[in-house]
Amino acid sequence: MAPSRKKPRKEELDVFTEEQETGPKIERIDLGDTASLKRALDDAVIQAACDAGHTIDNTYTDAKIVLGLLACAIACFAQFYPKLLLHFPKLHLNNTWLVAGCVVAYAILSSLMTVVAMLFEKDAIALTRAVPGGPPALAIASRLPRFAENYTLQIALRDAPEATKCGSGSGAAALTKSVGAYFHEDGQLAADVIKQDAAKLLAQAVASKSQ
Amino acid sequence: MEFLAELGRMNKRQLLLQGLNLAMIVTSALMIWKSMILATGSESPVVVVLSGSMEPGFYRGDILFLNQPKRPSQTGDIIVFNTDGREIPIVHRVIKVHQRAGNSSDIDILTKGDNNWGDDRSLYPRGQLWLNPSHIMGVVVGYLPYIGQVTIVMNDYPMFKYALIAVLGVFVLTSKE
Repeated sequence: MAPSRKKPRKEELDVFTEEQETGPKIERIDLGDTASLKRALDDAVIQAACDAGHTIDNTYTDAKIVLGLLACAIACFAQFYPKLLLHFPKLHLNNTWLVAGCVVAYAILSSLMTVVAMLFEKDAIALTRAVPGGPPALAIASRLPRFAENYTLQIALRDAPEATKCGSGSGAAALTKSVGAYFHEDGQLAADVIKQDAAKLLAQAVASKSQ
Repeated sequence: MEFLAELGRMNKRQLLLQGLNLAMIVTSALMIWKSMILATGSESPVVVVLSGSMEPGFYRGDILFLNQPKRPSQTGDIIVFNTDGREIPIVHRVIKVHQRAGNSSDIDILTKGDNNWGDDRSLYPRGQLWLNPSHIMGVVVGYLPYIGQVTIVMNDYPMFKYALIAVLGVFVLTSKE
């Protein structure tokens, strides 16, 4: 209003525009969406593992992708291959055995995919590869049941029994905390808190190898 | 929409796996259909009744299950047939069967809808008076009432079909199970 106020107001404006230009987009996750919360926490843990120098082993994920692509290719072949197009009136089903073979192959491949997910991966969110002379191979598993509030993180040596199943309690490094400890009120992830906890567990797991 | 933000947060491998999830659902439906074709021997094992020509037995919107029987057609069978040049097959009853002497699988068939005034000769291509077994897609062995109305609605209003597919696709792509 008075001319003496003009200067501070102008400064306020400058600071305001400056704040708007700097800083990346902040992610806010809905605190009721447990699946997104788990995904954000898992991503932070994997980031912490990479920061600590572990290499992520993608073999099982790649195996699932290859099996899936193969199964879809077989399905497309069965559907679109010219000799197999069952056009009316060729009702006597040419190449019945080829179609039957495709169906059987598809069933086998998709069951294999499920087997990999159920038997080998279980709760694991990441597996690391062993570096000779460096950190051993680890299995990082986590669990956050739907609509529950406690996040369980377990890091064990990869060849330990039941390493990929949370709650095995085989002396593996594990911790359970409420998700409230990792997220701000507005849904922002407190990345440094979860990364700190993950780094602690990683060091614990690596140290247990030498014991 | 938040699902775009969800997809943006995933890395390449996770995106690929989600896409594969969707593809696996579609392809497993396709493979189930193919195995039904193999099991029943019929080209289209499940059909929807589109007209009221078989009332009061079948109404528009009923689903029919078909089979290719080993024995030749007999009068009284309800068959689904398609003549040359027709897009949509017809579900009607066999009312006359003429059999050639000495060859029981070479037969002439005449059909009629239960609710129709005359026989199907007006539906056959010009000059054709009889059907033969190669025209038959299957014999009706079971039915489910009313459920086919969804298919009829989706046929009459294709936008509904595309919208449904789009919504289902979004659900699968963003599901985390």
